[in-house]
Amino acid sequence: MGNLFSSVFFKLFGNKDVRILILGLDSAGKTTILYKLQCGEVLTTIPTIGFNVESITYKNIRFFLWDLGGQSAIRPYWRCYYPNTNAIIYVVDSSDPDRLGIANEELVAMLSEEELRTTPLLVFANKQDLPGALSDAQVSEGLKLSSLKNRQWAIFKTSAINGVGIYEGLDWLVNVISGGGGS
Amino acid sequence: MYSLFVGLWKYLFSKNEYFILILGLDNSGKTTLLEQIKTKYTKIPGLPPHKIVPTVGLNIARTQFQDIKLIYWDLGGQTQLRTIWNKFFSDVHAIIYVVDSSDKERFNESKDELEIVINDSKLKDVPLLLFFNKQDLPDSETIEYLSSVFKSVIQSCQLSNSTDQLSSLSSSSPITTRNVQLQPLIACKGEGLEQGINWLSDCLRKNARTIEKSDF
Repeated sequence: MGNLFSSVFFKLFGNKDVRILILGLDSAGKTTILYKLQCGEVLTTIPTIGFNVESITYKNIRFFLWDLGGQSAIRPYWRCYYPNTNAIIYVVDSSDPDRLGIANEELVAMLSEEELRTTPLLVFANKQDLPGALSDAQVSEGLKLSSLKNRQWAIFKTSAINGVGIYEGLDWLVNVISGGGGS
Repeated sequence: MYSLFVGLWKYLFSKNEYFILILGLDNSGKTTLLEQIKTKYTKIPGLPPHKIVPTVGLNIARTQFQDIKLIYWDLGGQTQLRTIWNKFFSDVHAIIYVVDSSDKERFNESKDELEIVINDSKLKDVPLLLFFNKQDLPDSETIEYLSSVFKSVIQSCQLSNSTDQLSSLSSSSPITTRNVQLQPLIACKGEGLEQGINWLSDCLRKNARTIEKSDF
């Protein structure tokens, strides 16, 4: 009975804190996505030097969203934030196929870190509002996501400008985190 | 000593660990099946069917089934995503292939894709569990009808059953034999799931192939 009560109590009132890193190349839309989630608005952003961190509560889970600057000089500092990460949101500019290779290289380097070995990965194929944007299948091919076998991953087409796809991705994340992630 | 211990642990650990790949066309019910497997065989309930979105990615379920560990990989089934499938073939012990029994227009497409899968040399001798899903829908076809649709694929697996004559024929033939099971399924309710997984786990216990541990 004690177990039953405590588990019911947890389900009714329990809150889970989840730490999410939002990563990707500069200008992919990371900060726009962060504030779309945080306050529902499209803010004018400037390139992030350092990081932005905001918390949101979504479906009984409190997310701490860490948006790290994506310029090449800053990317080496990403690793300082890897410990205790529950999931990664990787944002790609789908309208910029020329830089998909670099986005792949940075992703591979990140995912090969021991601290992120089984961390679930959510990819946002962003800027779908722009003409000529690559599809989710094309972006996943460009990022070589099919080589990932030891973690759950998903890719969603998003447009941070009009909000399309972002909450669908978050729903996937909620499911994965509730289900114990990739491990 | 430490690395010896780790090696021993990995050996013991991986010996009873089997990887199962869930394939099928888009919308056949692969992720619904995976979530039902989670509901039935893990402590955490899977997603209800109405919350499942099309998969573009990889879903994983890790389950303890009696004395063995079953790890399921669920991949997207859209046309442009099927090129990913074969990248998993070297790493799996079994295939589950899901068919939408009510999707008449695409039975042949589903059969063609399954044929490509089982003809891949990386999947030699791997058991195949064929789930005919959505049997609850009024316009779904019977398993007898679907068996005839998929007959050429099943025969090319050298269908194995308990008939002595067929068994002896198979064993004398130089063509390798793949275990195949046809199972009706209502994934959204989990009906038929247990029979399928029981069969599959028996296959794996008896004669699972050895897989070179990839670095994943």
